[in-house]
Amino acid sequence: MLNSWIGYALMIAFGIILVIVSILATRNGKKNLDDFLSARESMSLPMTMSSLVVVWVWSSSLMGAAEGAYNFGVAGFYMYGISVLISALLLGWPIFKRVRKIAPSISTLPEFMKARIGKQTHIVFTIVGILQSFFWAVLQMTAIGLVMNVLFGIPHAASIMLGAIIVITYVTIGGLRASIGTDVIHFTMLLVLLAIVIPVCLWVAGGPREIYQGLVNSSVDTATLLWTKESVTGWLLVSVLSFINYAIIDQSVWQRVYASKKGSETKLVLGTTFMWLPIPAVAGLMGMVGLAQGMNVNPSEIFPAVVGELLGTWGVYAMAIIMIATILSTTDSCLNALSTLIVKNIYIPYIKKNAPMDPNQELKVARIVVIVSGLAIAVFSLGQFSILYLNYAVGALTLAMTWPFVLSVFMKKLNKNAAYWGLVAGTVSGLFFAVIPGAGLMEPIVPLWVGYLISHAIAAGIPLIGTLVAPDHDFEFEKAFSQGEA
Amino acid sequence: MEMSETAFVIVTYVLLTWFIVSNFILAGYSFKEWFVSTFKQPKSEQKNHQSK
Repeated sequence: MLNSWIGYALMIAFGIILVIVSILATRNGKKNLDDFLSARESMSLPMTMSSLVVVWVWSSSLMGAAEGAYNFGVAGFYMYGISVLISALLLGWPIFKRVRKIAPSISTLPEFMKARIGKQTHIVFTIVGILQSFFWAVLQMTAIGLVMNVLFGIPHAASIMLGAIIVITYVTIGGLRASIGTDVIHFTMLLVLLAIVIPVCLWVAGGPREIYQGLVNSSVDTATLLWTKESVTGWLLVSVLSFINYAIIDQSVWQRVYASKKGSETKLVLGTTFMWLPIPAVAGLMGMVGLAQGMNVNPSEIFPAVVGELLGTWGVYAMAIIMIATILSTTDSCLNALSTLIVKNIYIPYIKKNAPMDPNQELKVARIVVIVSGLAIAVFSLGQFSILYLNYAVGALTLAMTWPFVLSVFMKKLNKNAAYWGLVAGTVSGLFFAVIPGAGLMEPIVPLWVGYLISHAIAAGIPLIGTLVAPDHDFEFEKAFSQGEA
Repeated sequence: MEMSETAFVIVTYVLLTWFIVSNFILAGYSFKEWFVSTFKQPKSEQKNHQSK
């Protein structure tokens, strides 16, 4: 284990750099609520793209992809990434192009649903969106507690509180501008270290031919097969069905789309997907190295275990920096998304009743929401909940939102009541078939991927059947979204 | 379907090149944009200075 003071010093150095960057990021911003929460159309394409890449590269993209490759072998080249590719090409690209055109003044998904479907659906989308951002942030904070404890022996609570103070400070200073500005720094840091660590690990392990021979002789008989029944049902289908909404439901993605210049949605979504795709694939290589070397560790720890085993102390330091950058960048995006959802979908419409406010007062409220939300995330993270459980629960919770939203974007005659009941029934079925069995609280009635499929079928089927039986009148998008939907 | 050794080697090098080259280009552009947007003087301030 490394010296704990070095761990503290690393986190404090990160904190100082990120606070300076966020102060600089706010210099050219406008001093109003919209700029603080959405930085509307003011960020350049390369900045929003690199920010979106690090939002998508959270701890699971590195550790989860390596874990899958360690369990299944060469399938790790593509099975993690394919879900996001499908999500971005089939949903993210066409939807953001259309939504941005018909609703240019909104900045959150619940605002869209309020104008399109109604208040009840808005409340469900707001609550689920808040829970998603909150628990993803808790997941990240729990992970930083674990990582700093394993690598440096720093008490779990100390790392969480220090990490939370750093993130709260720079998000309070600069809002979304700080989040995107610091993401550029995180992205560069992450890229440089991964571009050194991964090739050096492959070289130390003997190169690709040696690794392939290790896979052939490994404990997994099917390690060189591109697909097997086990890898398809145990990984690919679960991944595709649970991440199909990855590119459209997360509020952090919405904020970056609206922060970019109008008309750049295609380049942003497709460009980010192109940049992101090789990252879980090369992370998967680390899992294959572990399998080829016959390492016997907890599969979820295979990435850092390979780095520590092959590169020694400097590799562990590099790993620590990679994990801190990954975790902090995702946490700040979640905190930003959470505060935006609360201010735009609860405070302004239900507490202030859309009454005009002094811009300084609005900013003050947004900053208070950031601080209170950040502290709540930190306190909740002290409970050390299972990361696996949170991952399953949060993912499955958002499943049913996918189809009512997608259909509401493209179907003018969508039956609004059917969309609402599709959302409710899909959420309940997701809890029953995916969240609870996924967390190990109940014996699964059907395989996990079938549970996800049932939830998707219900959430899409009810609105479609309802619309076929009793279609609504043509919905006038332009009129609805020009009337001030929030 | 089994992946051959040659295919494994080619895929490994293609992925590493794709990852490093594309992301370094993006990092370079985004860092440049960040630097320009951070240290460039806002137009309003430039006008103020010129008028003085």
